[in-house]
Amino acid sequence: MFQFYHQLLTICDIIYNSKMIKELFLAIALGSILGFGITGAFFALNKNKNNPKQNSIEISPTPTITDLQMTTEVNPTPAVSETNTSINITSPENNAVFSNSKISIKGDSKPNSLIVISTPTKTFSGKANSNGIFSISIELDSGINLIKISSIDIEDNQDQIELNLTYSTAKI
Amino acid sequence: MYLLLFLLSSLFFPTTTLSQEATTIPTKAPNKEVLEMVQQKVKDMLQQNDSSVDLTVPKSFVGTITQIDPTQVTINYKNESRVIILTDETVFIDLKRNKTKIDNIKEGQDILAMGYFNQYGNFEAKRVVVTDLKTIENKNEIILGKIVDISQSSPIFVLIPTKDKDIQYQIKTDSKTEILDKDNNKLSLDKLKSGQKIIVIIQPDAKIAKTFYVSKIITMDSPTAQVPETPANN
Repeated sequence: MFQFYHQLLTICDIIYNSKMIKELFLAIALGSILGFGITGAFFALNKNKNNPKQNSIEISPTPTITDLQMTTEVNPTPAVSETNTSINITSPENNAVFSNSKISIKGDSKPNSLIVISTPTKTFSGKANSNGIFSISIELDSGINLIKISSIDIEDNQDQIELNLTYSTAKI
Repeated sequence: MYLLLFLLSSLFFPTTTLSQEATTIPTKAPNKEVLEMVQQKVKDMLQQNDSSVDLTVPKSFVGTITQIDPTQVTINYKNESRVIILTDETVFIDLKRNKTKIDNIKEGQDILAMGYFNQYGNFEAKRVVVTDLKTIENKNEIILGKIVDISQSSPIFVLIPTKDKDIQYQIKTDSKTEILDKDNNKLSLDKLKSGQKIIVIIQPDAKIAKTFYVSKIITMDSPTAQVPETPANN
């Protein structure tokens, strides 16, 4: 490239210093420039056509809410109320630990439903009020208690959820 | 001379400039609305996580050990894995309720881990108790159904569940079976009649196949068999 430039400069110098044919060579030079320019532009356009990716605008992916949900850490203790049933436990939370064996299971279901709570060794029952709210006292066994809570409404529809509760007097 | 140089330069430089542009990958700035929405969503999620995990409330997790090392143990329960962080303060208790060391805790053992979530959302165990999932399993089933047959010679009746009428449960009672009405009043076994709608809390009888032992019966209505038929007017 440098040599080419150098040669061109030399030619231009000769042309410039030669007064007689100055205009003629200037015209030739300008014509060449114009010709090269058009040819260069033509090649440049063709090159762009062959590699459309290089000139096309690439939009960096915008993070969507779905992406965020997928990457966000899952809630460590899934709430029992998120299950798709008519019964919802407001207290206690799943995987709770108690230092007292006697606790109350509170929640809501359909109005006047019968609530049956079964620990591995005992069964307790009670009724939801006209608003569907219930609170039933139960007694836990020592250690972990896998508890089944069933709700039967007045139309005999039955829903069930499970809770894992631990009773331990040990210092935690 | 300089005009000529300028024209010559302008002939070659545009092509190099074009090639530079081709390698540049411009990025489109995210829409302002989308950014605000994402920021709000992240804020909501952080708030939700903060409120759902109380760092002062003890929690417990049970499962079978799938992986263990001195700093953490991974357990699996009902196809859900959970990593539990072990610290110098973690106390290990074996099946005989004696203190033990982490070296005695192996993969395949069932454990109950009690502790707290830390500020990073990781569960740190304060106490790890070796247990047996089979012994703590709740085998009770709560079933609503209708009595279709009651044995007169043995304390057995047959129940068809409301949810699946193709199933029949052969249910055995004994002196410990508690029978209540909807208002928690105690009833005697002879109050049960065929056609009656009841809730039973049953578990499989280990001694007799396809037979269930009932620990509690709750009657839902009065037995239809006891309803006297209205005499027809002739």
